[in-house]
Amino acid sequence: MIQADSLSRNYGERWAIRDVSFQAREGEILGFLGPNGAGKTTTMRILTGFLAPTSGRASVAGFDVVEKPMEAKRRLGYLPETPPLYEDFTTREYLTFVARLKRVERRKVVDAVDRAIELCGVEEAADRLIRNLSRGYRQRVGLAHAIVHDPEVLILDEPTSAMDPRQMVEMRKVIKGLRGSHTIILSTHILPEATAVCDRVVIIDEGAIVAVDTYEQLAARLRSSEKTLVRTARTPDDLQPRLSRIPGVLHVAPGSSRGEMVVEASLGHDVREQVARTVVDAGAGLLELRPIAMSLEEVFLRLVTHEEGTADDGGTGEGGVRA
Amino acid sequence: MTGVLVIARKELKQLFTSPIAYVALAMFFLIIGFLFFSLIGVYTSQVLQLQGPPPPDFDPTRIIFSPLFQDASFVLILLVPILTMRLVSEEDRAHTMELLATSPVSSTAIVLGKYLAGIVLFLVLLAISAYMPLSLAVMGRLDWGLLAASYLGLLLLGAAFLAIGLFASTLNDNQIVSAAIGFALLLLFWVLGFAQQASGSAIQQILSSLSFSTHFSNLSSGVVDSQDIVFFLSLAGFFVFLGVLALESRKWR
Repeated sequence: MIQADSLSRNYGERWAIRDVSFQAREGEILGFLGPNGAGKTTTMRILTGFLAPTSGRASVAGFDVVEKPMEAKRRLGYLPETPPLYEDFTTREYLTFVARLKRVERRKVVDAVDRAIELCGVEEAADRLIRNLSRGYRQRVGLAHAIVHDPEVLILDEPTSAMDPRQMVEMRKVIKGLRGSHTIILSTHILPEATAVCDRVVIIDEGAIVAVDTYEQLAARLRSSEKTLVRTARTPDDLQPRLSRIPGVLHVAPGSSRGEMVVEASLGHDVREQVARTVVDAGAGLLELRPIAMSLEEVFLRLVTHEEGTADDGGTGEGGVRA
Repeated sequence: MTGVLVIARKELKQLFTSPIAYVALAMFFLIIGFLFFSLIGVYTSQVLQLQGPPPPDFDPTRIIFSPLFQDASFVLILLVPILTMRLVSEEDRAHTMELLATSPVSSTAIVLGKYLAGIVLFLVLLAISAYMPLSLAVMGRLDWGLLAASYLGLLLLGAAFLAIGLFASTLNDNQIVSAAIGFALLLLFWVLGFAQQASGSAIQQILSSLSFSTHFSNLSSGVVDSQDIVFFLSLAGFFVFLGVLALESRKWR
């Protein structure tokens, strides 16, 4: 439905995105996750035809966005980060204009507007001037404008920004309601939003895609082994070798702080019982023993934060290439 | 084509729901009304000084309307940038350009729609201004040919001015700056005609043939020359084209 093929875009010397490829399948909600300035907006602007890519190709609903822009745009709804609203129109006037602009058939305009107003829950604001609406309402009118022509593809740039938590929940409900009938790309830097709404996530950082998968898959992929954190009062010299000898254990590494150790076992091996026994036998004084599970935050940080790591490597590897 | 009309309709709605169109029209007619009044005074005093039958070139249309339209063209230099300044700048500031640019309408349709709205507003202005000749026509005989040529001149002049103002508006997201650029461009095209004394004869000819004032004074004195018509139309076309280029180039910047 949406296909990006090694898209790149530079602004002068700086690459906003580089070699970005991904696809969104029909009817799914694809989350675009990344810190601010990662290139989410640039990617979305290319998909919508607002910006041209420096290189690479993108297509929406089967139409190349550079070669067949009109066909692609017809099938596309786009809510930019700042909703594009005309302050001196009422919601209904505004949506009517957008429907005409998006080539909704003349006799269907009224129905399309009513439908969008209802779907986004802005009935109360329908005949008020947009300039007098609260930010939450503006955002919803923005969503209404993106769906008024019932596009196959929806691109939403941070749709819940500037909303209070209750409005966020409602907005997500609306977006989830559109799943199936629309293919949706949604960008966010709010992680719980991605887990709550999206079928799959694309994690983007510094203009490059770091990972594409479902959240569960990502977590599983990053967790190639079962990890257990052990904290002990003392660290006898023979503790580490003894832990390594437990069947199924792959690797034992010192943890981040004193007295901590991370025991890695191959997937499917629960070694906690033996670990506990070994620690006690060694007289190390077991203080804590817990499995390390990854939250999406950790997955995200693991994929995205590399500054400290690469700095320690003396700027080699990825750090050097990305700079 | 539908895209052009949809945009033009929206622009007109915005122009006429905001004070800007009314303020601009009021400003224009305040100044022009005063000039009209004082030119009638000039005519009246000339009639009173007449001894015997009027000479053949004594013509109210020439005495009142030719200078009036010359002055009007100058007022338009100030007025048109105010009408056009928000056309694109405001869309940039309010981020609504993102809506237009991602909708199934071409940059050409966006610019033409906005331009068309400007032309419609200008036609409204010309239509209102018809009260001046019509009010005199009740009392005396006017030279309708001369008036028609003058109105054609004003319309062509307005079309070129609007295109220049619209182009200026694509350059910047600040309305005031856009108005200033538009004003500067219009004034430049006007004063090119003054350069006659300053430069050699070859350059002088080129400069004065690029000037609004040269071509407009032909029309407002009743001479309809295809050369002048082509000048204004091609100038309008050129700046509309530049406006389209300015919008289109944004994708690549």
